[in-house]
Amino acid sequence: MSDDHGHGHGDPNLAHHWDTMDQQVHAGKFGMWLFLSTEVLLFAGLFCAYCVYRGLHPEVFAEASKVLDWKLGALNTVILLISSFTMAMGVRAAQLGNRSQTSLMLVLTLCGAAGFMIVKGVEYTAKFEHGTIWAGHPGSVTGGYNYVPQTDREFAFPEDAAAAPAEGQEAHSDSKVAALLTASAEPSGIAVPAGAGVGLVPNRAAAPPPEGLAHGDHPRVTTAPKIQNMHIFFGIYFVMTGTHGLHVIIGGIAIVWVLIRNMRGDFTPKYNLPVDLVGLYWHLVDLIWIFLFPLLYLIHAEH
Amino acid sequence: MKDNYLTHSRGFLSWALTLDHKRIGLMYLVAVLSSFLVAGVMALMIRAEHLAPGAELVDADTYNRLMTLHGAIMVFLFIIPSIPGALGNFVLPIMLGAKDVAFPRLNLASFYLWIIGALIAVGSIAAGGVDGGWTFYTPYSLQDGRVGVIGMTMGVFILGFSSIFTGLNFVVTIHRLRPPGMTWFRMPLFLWGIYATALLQILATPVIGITMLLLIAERVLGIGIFDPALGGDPVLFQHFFWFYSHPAVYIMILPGLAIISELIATFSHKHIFGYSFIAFSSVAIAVFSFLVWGHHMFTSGMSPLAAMIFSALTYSVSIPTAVKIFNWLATMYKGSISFQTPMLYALAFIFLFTIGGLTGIFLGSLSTDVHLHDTYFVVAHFHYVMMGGTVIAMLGGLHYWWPKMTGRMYSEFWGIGCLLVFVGFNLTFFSQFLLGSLGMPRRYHTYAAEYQPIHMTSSIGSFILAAGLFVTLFYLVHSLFKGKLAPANPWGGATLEWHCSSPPPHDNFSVAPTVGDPYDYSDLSYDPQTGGWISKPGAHA
Amino acid sequence: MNRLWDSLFGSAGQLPPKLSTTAAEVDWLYDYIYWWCVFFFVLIVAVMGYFMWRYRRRPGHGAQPSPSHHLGIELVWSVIPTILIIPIFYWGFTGYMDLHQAPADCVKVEAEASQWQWKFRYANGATMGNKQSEDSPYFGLHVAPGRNVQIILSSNDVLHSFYIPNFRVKQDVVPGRYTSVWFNAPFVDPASPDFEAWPPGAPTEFETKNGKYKVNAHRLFCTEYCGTSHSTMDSWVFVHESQEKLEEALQGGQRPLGQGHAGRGRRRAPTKNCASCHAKHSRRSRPPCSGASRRTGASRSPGSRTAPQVQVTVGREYVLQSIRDPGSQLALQDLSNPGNPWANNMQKGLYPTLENEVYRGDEEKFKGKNGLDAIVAFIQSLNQKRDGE
Repeated sequence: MSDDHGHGHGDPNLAHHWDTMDQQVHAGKFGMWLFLSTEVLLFAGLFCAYCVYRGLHPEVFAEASKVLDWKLGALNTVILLISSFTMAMGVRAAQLGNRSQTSLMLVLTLCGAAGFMIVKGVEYTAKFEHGTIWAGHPGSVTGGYNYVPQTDREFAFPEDAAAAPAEGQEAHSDSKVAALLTASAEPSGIAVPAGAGVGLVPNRAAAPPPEGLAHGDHPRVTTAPKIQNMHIFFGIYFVMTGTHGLHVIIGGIAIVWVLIRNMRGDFTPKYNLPVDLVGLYWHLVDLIWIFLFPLLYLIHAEH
Repeated sequence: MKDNYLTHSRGFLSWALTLDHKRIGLMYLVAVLSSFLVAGVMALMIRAEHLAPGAELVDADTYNRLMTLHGAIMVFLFIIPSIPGALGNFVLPIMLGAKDVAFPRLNLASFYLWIIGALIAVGSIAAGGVDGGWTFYTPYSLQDGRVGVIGMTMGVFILGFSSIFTGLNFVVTIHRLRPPGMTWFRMPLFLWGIYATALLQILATPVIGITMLLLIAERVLGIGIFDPALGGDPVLFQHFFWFYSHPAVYIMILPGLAIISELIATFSHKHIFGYSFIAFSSVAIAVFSFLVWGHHMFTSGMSPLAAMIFSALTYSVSIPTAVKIFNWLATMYKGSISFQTPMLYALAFIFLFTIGGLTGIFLGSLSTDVHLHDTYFVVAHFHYVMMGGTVIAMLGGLHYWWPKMTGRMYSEFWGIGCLLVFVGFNLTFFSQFLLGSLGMPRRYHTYAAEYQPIHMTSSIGSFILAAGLFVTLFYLVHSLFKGKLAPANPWGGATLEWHCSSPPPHDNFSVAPTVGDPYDYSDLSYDPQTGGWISKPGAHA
Repeated sequence: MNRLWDSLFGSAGQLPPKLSTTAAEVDWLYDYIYWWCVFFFVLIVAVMGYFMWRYRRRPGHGAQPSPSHHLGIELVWSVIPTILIIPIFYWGFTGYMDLHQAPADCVKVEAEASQWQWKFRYANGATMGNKQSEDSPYFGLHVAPGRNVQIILSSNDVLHSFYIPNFRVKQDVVPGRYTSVWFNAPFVDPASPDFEAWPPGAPTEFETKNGKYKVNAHRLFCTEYCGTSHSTMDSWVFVHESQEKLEEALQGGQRPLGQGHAGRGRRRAPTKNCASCHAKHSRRSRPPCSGASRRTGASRSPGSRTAPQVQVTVGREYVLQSIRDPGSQLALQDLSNPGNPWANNMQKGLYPTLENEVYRGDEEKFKGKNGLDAIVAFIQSLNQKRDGE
């Protein structure tokens, strides 16, 4: 680098614009916490989307969640918790200047990351095989063509019914269809006032779960699934776990980076900031999963 | 000229790989002004098209792409990074009395992310261009044949990281690199403004990041979150988008307000009035700005309860803004006001920003907003705030710090170009208030004949405005070669950046500067020999 | 020029004339805000101008000492604007509720938006486009004077927005949900001195084969960007002299059934799960069902896997049969091709059929203009557009 920001302080790790190493380390940690706050807000967007769609389609979430295998989810939770522990041990070892133990702990953490991704891969593969995936994928069996815009069947022109017999007849058959489709005894219960911010109103008259879907991750779909709009859940599921998986991978790469630097002998008890920062990042990735697991896997789990 | 940051090292790489905040700021300045030029030329084409109601100059698809690119480039490539990235980077550490920002490498990374993001975003033109406006509303942005949307949103995603890195750097710098004596309440108000802005950059930008990622996923995979055909909710996209983009409005304007506080005080030669009110109002605006995004959506089919809450909260932002204007006027009271170019811009700012702010009341009020939403009234309103506010403030700041950045004085005589800008701007955009209140919708390629006279006025105004800006560009560039050498303190400013030479040395300060009251002008006197202001003998050790 | 002068005085020159019952309330608040804005703007600029002159830097004049903060005065100018804002907020909200809550006795008209046209459907089933065309002189939104009219808005593709400046009403049209807007517009004889028109020179007559009818015409715009021809997605609202004149004018003006039919089918079709693939904006693969073209395909006869190659007309009957028995009209090689996503879905038996779906045994009910025919018409209409792209 042609820029000669000189290090007049003796320690090659201390940048010229800091007075003391302490100041620099504190600033680094502070910056990392700020960065973690941006990560939290990034996921906050996804959690908002989750809340909105769960609010709109509670029955879809309750039923579709049963397709996920909570045992695999729990296994992943345990793996991540252990890896968080080994990461913390690694940071501690780096602070004590124990190079070989730091390396060992970082490697163990990496194994945790890999294990998590493998389990995730197993789950994803099963989803793709069974087509329980997001709507736009051509293999999706719960996909978009089953999407029922519920306002469409709840909407009628009662006032016009009297004025125009033809429309009245139509309104009648509309509500009849609605009743049949939702298998509900009270079709009037799902009517919403026109224009009152009508949105994707939840179909609270939920149909019973399809038999094939009650047993873990192996839905047997022979005709159109009776739970409508399952793909909405899977869209959210894949986006949330996918984004989280991406963070696991990024975290893994960061761990490899500090592992290499550690083996090169860059860190001392005085300067181990990168290990510390990667540790913070890894704990955040772990923490996000702690929220994802119950929200996605443990809705109405009666097992 | 003695050794300074410009002459400290030479060669392309000494700039491309520099970690010096001043050089990065300068590179940012060139980059954002180039975007301003590109998007400005697009604006001129739009105005030329509107001289007559029909399709004269460009066809509908070209117009729609021009309008979209004008908005997207102005917002994401120019205004958001302009003051923090260029002026903030240059001035902030010096004003603070620090040698650099906290993370110089991150700073450089932020600049290169800007470059990459800009290339990808503008490169989307090659993929057929983007239309639909800078808001990318779904499901329009999901329709077939709009591949450009992917490039543009990817670009915005990357630019978001650039913005986050800048903000993060500034927050840590202000927290951790204040020299002894620089307490929070001795910080110049520019730093308070940049600090509030940086908080917004950190806290709001991730949401646009995830929104853009979801949009790309929806576009490429069809995940069904925003696409109504797949059960998604297009209005949710609007909520996500504005949750970022309303705070983004304050990312744009807060630094502008901050510059004006400096200019008014320096050129009135008077202690700023109500320092703590102005400082806290910046932070208050930053906090409130997170709670008002829904006012962009009053006609979207949102529930009336939500609309009511958002309307009420919207007014809460207007109060701290009004307070600042009153404080500036009180600062001028009993001052000694000089009308050098930066001050002309500051006064123009008060005039224009007052109009921009007051017309916001029409839009914050629910029933009048229904009529005015998505018309030219909105276009005029946000141009008064964004251009009449931020851009005018940036030009003021640019003139103010120009001697410090370049070591040269520009010609005060040609500073009169400010008047051309002022007249042209008002002609262009005031007429658009009238267009909008008469019902002319925005984003229209052709329009009904009854609007033509006003459209024509607006277009003529825009040409005057452009002429003013070109005059400015010309004399500023001219000054680089022919300008007089600048003294250390040409305006009589009391903040720390005027203590070091113009241009500043590589390390800003060889010894930590003495920190005093940033608005105490009492010990400064004009020295006709150097053309600058110096401390009275004995005032400083 | 007169208007320019008027525009200094608030709504009279700045807004179009008040031509609906709710417009006056909006305009009143507009004026209220306007005059406060003028007051504060003049105050700020006047003070600024005075200080600029009074305290200009000149020989013999320097800055004079004055306090650099004053809690009392700062509180005053924070609190006074806050108090002024409260009534503006309150009136804005009540006015909004009046615009939002339609009265119970509204006449309902459907307005269906698609790129880049409006389709207005009246209670009697008549439909009209937004522009005059060769096949029909009937166009626009026709309403009776002094009646509460509610427009039910729906979109076939992307966001649109329904805006009538003269009535001060605007509402976004969101695909996948219904929104609505209401107004009550008077009729003023164009010959009378009270008559105000915006734009100047708006039509005052509407001509049909039954004669010329006096109307008050108001512009209708789309105000949410919707693509190439967004700026020409406009129309007129015609307020007729009376309900009788309105009916007389439009007598016999109903367009061919297919149009209204397809629209009705559109509302119905999603309940049969058709629209998610067949809708124009869907990116999903779907079998060919265009009414316009002929495709090569093999008709599959039961029990025979070696069907002869025949030309199949992809017409109304084709679509109808495909609904009754999905795949029956498709070429066998298409069906057995594993790379064909819709054929894949077809084999999973995922398309609704008359046999396995809810309307088993009710087939007769779904015939005729309210049922299956409408769905067929809808699918044909959509795919004509899409296949033509």
